Amino acid sequence: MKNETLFRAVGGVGDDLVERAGAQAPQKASRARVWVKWTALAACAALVIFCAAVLSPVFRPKGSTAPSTQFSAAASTQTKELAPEQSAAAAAAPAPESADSASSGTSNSTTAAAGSAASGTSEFGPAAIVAFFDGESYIPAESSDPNLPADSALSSLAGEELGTVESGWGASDKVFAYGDLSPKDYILILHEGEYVLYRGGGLQ
Amino acid sequence: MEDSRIVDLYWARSEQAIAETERKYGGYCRAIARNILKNEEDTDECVSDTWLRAWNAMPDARPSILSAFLGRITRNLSFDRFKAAHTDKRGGGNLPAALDELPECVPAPGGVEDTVAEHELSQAIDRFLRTLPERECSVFLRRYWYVDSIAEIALRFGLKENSVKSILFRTREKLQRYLEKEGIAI
Repeated sequence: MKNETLFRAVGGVGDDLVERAGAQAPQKASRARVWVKWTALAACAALVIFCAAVLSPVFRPKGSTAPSTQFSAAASTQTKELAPEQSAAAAAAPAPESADSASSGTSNSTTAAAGSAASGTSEFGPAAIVAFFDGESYIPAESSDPNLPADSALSSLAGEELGTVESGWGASDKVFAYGDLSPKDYILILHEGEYVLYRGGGLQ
Repeated sequence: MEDSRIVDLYWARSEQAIAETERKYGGYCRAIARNILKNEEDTDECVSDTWLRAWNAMPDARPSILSAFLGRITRNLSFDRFKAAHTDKRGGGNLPAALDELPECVPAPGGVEDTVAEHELSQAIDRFLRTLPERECSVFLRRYWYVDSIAEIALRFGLKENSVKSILFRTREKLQRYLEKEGIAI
């Protein structure tokens, strides 16, 4: 009974209040708000995809098993080692003029710069992908590389030890010849117990 | 056609008044009736009855705000029809939920002495509503005068449904305190 009394009593309020409440048109602003919401969501999604493309191995070319995986993991590790200020410096740093080993900070900067220069390759990744050895620059062999063995038996193809990576990715790692191929074209880098195939001409 | 001209037609006993009213306020009154009844057939009958009531009321009435005048008639007729159809059972529509919420506005029994007449209660609610910000007032009336659903109110005012519920809850609490302060009980 109370609710009926109240309902009828509410019906008796002033006409001006009723008219004002009735005149309130549905908000068109809500549509704009939805637009803003979806735009913001799309921007966030784009940012996430961009970051994933830069950092995640998922977005790298498929096919290559061990070398690609190893490279990706190594590249990620290398990236983590770069402090923000180092990354910024690396972006502005020139490509190395000599293959001499440098201090670790210089090495990272050099690597990042070299990686930027190598961005025209098929690898998306951050800067730290180029290895320097014997005055040459090397980048990871693509999964489609015809000289990459299908079963990833890289260790069996490791030839003569040629020295160590002078700077860039895998600095101080041992470098081996790759089968009968010229070290100018291909080298194997023993990185954390596993061989990674690198090919020459990384900065060309 | 302007409202004053339509009212003049009623006063002149011209049947064109009904046609003009239907043209201008048919949708408005139908929306109120539909909110309460949720039945197209009953809605149409209530709106037709509204025109008849308006025809009988003018003259002598000369409403200053024709929409509110007609809407009030529709609301009362719809509520009566709703009650008649739902004496023993709860029906669909927005009204059952709105009716369930309204008693929260009433002070607890024993807090005040006198039971007031409906007219006095209406005046108290009117005074209370005029103390509220415009949006809160309109949200309250959209719910309990027009019997809009929460979703419809949210859309109309560009709010989230939870915000509408929150506004209604706070307003009911304020009204309860206001009526208590005024010494009004039902």
